[in-house]
Formats: sequence, C-alpha cells, structure tokens
Amino acid sequence: MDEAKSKFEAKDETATKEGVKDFGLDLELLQSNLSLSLEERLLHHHAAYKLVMEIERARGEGQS
Amino acid sequence: MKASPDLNELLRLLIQNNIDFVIIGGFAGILYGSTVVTRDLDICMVMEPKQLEKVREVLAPYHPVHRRGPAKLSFLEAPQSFEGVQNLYLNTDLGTLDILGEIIEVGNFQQVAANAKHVTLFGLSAKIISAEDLIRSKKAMGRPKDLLVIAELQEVLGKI
Repeated sequence: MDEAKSKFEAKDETATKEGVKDFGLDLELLQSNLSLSLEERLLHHHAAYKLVMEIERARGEGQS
Repeated sequence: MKASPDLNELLRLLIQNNIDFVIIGGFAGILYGSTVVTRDLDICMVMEPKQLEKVREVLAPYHPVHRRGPAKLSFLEAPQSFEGVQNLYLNTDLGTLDILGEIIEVGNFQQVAANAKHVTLFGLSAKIISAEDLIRSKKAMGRPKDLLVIAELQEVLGKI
C-alpha cells in the first residue's frame, strides 16, 4: 500500500505534458490495480488522495 | 464535527440515497484501474429540480458551497430555483463534487448512461461512464493528466 501511495503521488506530481512522455505508463502498477476489486481500487486511491491533500495543505500553510 | 475529506464516502452517500447519476472523470478512471490521483468526484446527472433538491438534502450535513464565484455561496441557499441549472461545482467537507448535465464530446445524461457500465459499489448498483466515452471526453479536454489517463485506459481496454 505504501509503495502504491508513493507511486500514485509521484505520478501526480510528474504528470506534466513532458512528464507523460518521459514518465510513460507504469504498466506494473496499472496491472496491480487491475487485479484489485473496485472497492479496493477506491481504498488505494483514497490513501493516495489523503496524502496529496496533506501535501497541498502543508504547502498552503508554508506560503501563508 | 467537520467530516474529513473522503470522496469514497461522498460517492457512497449519493448512491445510497438513490440519486440517478453516472460516475465520470478521473474517479471513473480510478474504477477502471487508473493510477492518476483525482482530487474530485465528477458525476453526470439529469439537472432537474427534483434530483438536485435531493442532492442538496444529502449534502446538507457536509456544508456544501459553490466553488466558483467570489462569494462562496452556500449550496443550501443558492440557487433558489434549479430551473436552467446546467452544471454545479461544489466544495463539501467530504471533498469536491462536480455535477455536470452534459459531457463534452459524449452528450447529456441519457447519452452517457446509455453506454455506461453497471457495477456494484458498496453493495449497491452504480453506473460508470464507458471507458470509450471516458477516453473521448478526456481527449476533448486534453490536459496533461488527461493524456496519461487516456494512455492507461487504452491499455486497460486492450485487456478487457
């Protein structure tokens, strides 16, 4: 789960136009997600979403 | 007490309260296996007053406010009438919810629902935009994160 979270986050941060080209598809992670049930996919995403929200909140506090 | 952001809970609430909608956008992508984090829940539904009143009622405990416009008006107070409303962009304690009456390059709720995939979520019936329609709409938007989701969806379609 932790690895999945960090990959979710890494992808979120690098999804620039160039990033898509350079970063490419993480077929291993995609395959791993496909092996999960729908509810499990939502739970994994929620863990990553919380992390992203925490990072954004910390950035916001840092700027204020 | 203010609820923590939880898009899954937001989705569960809408499904549980029999609101007729199709899950679209990045959240639909997640259900297809996408690895790209989305910060909001996007749904497509018929923007008719009775359905929207029900949404308002369901969201009431979660302090829904309009995200667009300077005043951050409460969704519990505005609009007074849902006549003519086409889209709603809301923030709630559970997270961001975008409600669209129509999707670019795909069409209105009926057209989206006609091709939608029927699934069971939280033990209840739900609809997800078809992967083909999701690709079409994301191509039309063409943002960097959309390109990545499109590539993933095309990969997924090859495996279905």
